[in-house]
Amino acid sequence: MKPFRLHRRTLLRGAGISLALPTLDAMIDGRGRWWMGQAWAATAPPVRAMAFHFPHGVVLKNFTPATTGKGYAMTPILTPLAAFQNDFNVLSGVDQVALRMGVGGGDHARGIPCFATASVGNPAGSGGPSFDQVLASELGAATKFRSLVAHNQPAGTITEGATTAHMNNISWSAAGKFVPAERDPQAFFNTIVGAVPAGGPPTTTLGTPVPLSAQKKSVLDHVNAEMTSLSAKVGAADKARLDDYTTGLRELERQLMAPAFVTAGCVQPAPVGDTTDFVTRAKVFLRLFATAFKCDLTRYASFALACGFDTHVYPDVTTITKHHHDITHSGTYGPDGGVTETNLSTYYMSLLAFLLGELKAAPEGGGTVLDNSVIYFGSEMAEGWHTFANMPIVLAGHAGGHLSTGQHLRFPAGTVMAKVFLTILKAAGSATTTFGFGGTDVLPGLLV
Amino acid sequence: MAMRRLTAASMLLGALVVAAGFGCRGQISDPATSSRGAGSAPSSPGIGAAGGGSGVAVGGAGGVGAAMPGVFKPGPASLRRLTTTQYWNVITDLFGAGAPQSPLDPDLNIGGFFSVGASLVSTSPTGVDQYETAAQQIGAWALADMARRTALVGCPAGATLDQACAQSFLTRFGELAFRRPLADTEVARYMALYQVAGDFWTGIQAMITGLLQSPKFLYRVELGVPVASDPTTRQVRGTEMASRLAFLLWGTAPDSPLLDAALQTDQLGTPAAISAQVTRMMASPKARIGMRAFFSESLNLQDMAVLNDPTLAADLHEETLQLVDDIVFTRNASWQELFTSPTTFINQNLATYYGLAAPTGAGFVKVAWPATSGRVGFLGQGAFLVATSTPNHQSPTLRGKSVREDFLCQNIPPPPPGVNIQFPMPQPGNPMTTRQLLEAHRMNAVCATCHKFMDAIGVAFEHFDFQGKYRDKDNGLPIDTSGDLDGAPFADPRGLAGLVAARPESGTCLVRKFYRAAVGHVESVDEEPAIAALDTGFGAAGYKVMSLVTDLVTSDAFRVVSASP
Repeated sequence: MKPFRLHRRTLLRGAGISLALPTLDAMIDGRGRWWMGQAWAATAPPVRAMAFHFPHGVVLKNFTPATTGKGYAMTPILTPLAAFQNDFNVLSGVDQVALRMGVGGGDHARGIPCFATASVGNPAGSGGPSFDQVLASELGAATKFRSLVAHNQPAGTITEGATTAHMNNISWSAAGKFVPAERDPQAFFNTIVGAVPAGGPPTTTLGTPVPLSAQKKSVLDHVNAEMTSLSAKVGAADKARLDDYTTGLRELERQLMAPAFVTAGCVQPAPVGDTTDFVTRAKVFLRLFATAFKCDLTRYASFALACGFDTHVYPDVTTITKHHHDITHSGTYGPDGGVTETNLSTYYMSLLAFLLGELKAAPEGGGTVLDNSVIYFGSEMAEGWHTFANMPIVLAGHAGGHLSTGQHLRFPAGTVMAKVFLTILKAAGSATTTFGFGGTDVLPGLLV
Repeated sequence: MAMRRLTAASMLLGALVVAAGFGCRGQISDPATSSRGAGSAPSSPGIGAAGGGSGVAVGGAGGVGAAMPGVFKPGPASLRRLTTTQYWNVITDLFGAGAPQSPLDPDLNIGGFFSVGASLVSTSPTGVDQYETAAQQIGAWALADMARRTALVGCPAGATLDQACAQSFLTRFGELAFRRPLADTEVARYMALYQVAGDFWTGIQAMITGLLQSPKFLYRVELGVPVASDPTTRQVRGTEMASRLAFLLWGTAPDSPLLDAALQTDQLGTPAAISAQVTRMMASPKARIGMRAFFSESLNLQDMAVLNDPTLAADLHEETLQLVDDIVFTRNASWQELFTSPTTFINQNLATYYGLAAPTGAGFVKVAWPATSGRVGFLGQGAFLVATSTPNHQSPTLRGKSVREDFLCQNIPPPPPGVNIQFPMPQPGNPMTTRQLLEAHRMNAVCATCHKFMDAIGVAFEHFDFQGKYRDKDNGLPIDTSGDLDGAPFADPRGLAGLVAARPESGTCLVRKFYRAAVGHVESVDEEPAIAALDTGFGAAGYKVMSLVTDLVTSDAFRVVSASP
């Protein structure tokens, strides 16, 4: 049974006013602890969680540190993170076992849905929800958006024997049900800075129009009634589809009511500008994610740099004019023994460093927003020639002090990926007890 | 609820997987020309090993049932959500061109068809938000300009902007949006929304945003009416039939003449009444545009990402659709010409691509393939050759697979889990052609069972690289394009194209796909008799698609749905 939890936001909404609140017994976090002696409003920022995907694995010998524990020497691929060494962990020995067991499509097509779900997939897609969506469903009601999902590339059309859904989506709300990603930086910007669409109703001389949010609410109520009237006439399967739509309408109504919660680091992001370049576009998305965290627009996010087949060519990394995916199949480690593949991984790592920098620059409580976040940075395979043991994993952020960081941890070979995600869920305050394939207990040595 | 929906989807996918699980024993054959009994028994060992050559009999879910086809029984009537293309087509019809476009919930592709996915797709919370945003933006845009909003609302000059005017707008506009007249209860509900808004234009905008988010707008409601003589079926007629016809042939909502016909006494309830409308509809330029979605899906033209050149991909896509348009609409010629056409359509960009003389002007012109090009028909076009390649590699396997799956409607099972599907690399100092590498690959008996069906025909295209461009040699070695299609030998791709065109399955395959697009689901074994009958008619009419269209939309298969969805 899910423990009863009362969010501070619930109280605020109920009271309709904002004031300093006393600590109540019910205000405990997912690990059954409560914040001693002080009101949450001042001392307990929320824990944010994010899944961040880069394509086609790494060359492991250039990724994995030689020693375990703290104070390990940086490897070529980790170099961009050197300034953050105390803010993240490197995990070794974790195996994406569920991917091997999945049915339907090639390794990329099974790997992408598996990436943040660690579930045994099928021809419809993932075998279960991704961890960001578990959090969105369980705890996401506290913010305007339960989660934000974006992708740095247009939806690809390659299916690799499965479907485009497999290849293009890392966030899944349930088995086989992906969460569509925003792929347009400008639209993502618009979502974050302004919920009200441009234009607005034209004015007339007759009367005073009601405020847009109230009008929106009355239209949504009306659409709800339309759903009900059609629902009565259709079969069970179609009724279920209309019910899904009604669920979405309820979400929209909730967003209209959710109060804005603005922290000190929250400022309007800069305009988007030209985003044709891969890195520029990724940085625009990442800055917007940071804004969303800082402004508490959402606490749960996912971002992918490329689709299941990365057909992007990287002229600023290599003179090789092949797509990334093709490079990974020009011999085991590409055409140059892994030099280009390593450069690409390092390039992606610098984007993680960019995000960590944005979050670390934002003070919150006694620390920074990074201190109150947990970011899983990884890939759909271990090495680009299709291996799944020893997945490259960076786990960044302190999750509000619930994760110890600064270490390289080596787990026994065959440790299932789902345990990584269960650990993240626990760190972020979820009451979930099992997750994905074999996620029955957390990884040792991480949770504080 | 969500569980039930998922079950429906996974049952369909499960059926495809079961079918795929047969393996490739014996000879691959099409359900229409082989013994269905044998082909439909997945557990029976040694299928096709003896006599008859029956093997993987797949054309859809048809492989699942064990019964021989008998009497046609119609499939279910599901709500079909408008595809993104259809949504924006309808918006243009309702408001004129130029409405602000924003992203919509993605379409679902099932069995190669968005039209099938539309019957199963569920709308995500993000999608609901996107439909709401789109409706708000379109409503605001439609009313922002004085001239546009006056034309839209359409009350007589000098009329008061009052409730009567709002209601006359609602009645007229609502009929186009819902593809049927509004019921009195609906008029009352929308007028209540108008009242809440507080002023005339805000009220109109609230009604528009409400209409555009209504399930009666976003979904095609074609549930049929009870048939007295047969309680197991329902007949699709009236405005529902108008909608069914318009989305199939035009990719958009019915126009006023079609809705008017639907509201007359016979209510499009007879083949003759439908036929009269279809003749008008197919003669309209809207059909040439509307049916592009079907041909684009059925010829698998979506996937040319390996080119990394969106302009070239769009031009190659257009080339194929122009060829189809020429065969189907301009000349009403045999569908077989898709494979055997000695001509194609190029613009200046494609002239460079193919190494042909550039046409004057910016448009596409019809040109003959030079004999030396080795190209003929669709299988000689860049679109086919690129869509069946992987990044930087042409793949005889994928090309052979596409010929079988996309044009003969046979299914090749995926490789067993866990096998290395990476293309073998030649050893340094020992150059080999792709064909030779594949032959070595087929020494593995497990791989060979299926690969012989694909590779033996895919090698026909070896003169064309992954970008669809001609190459004289492969890895410095001469290229051998000879092979056989189930025992019938060919020397080159032109020979193979002739064999594919001559196979009756290439006609049946189009019938099957058109059927799926029309009814919005993958056919069950109970629907096979309808496909067989349409196939017979298609052959008798000289494989003319125009004839197939009329036959299909006037048949029971299109006019009747199951009473139990």
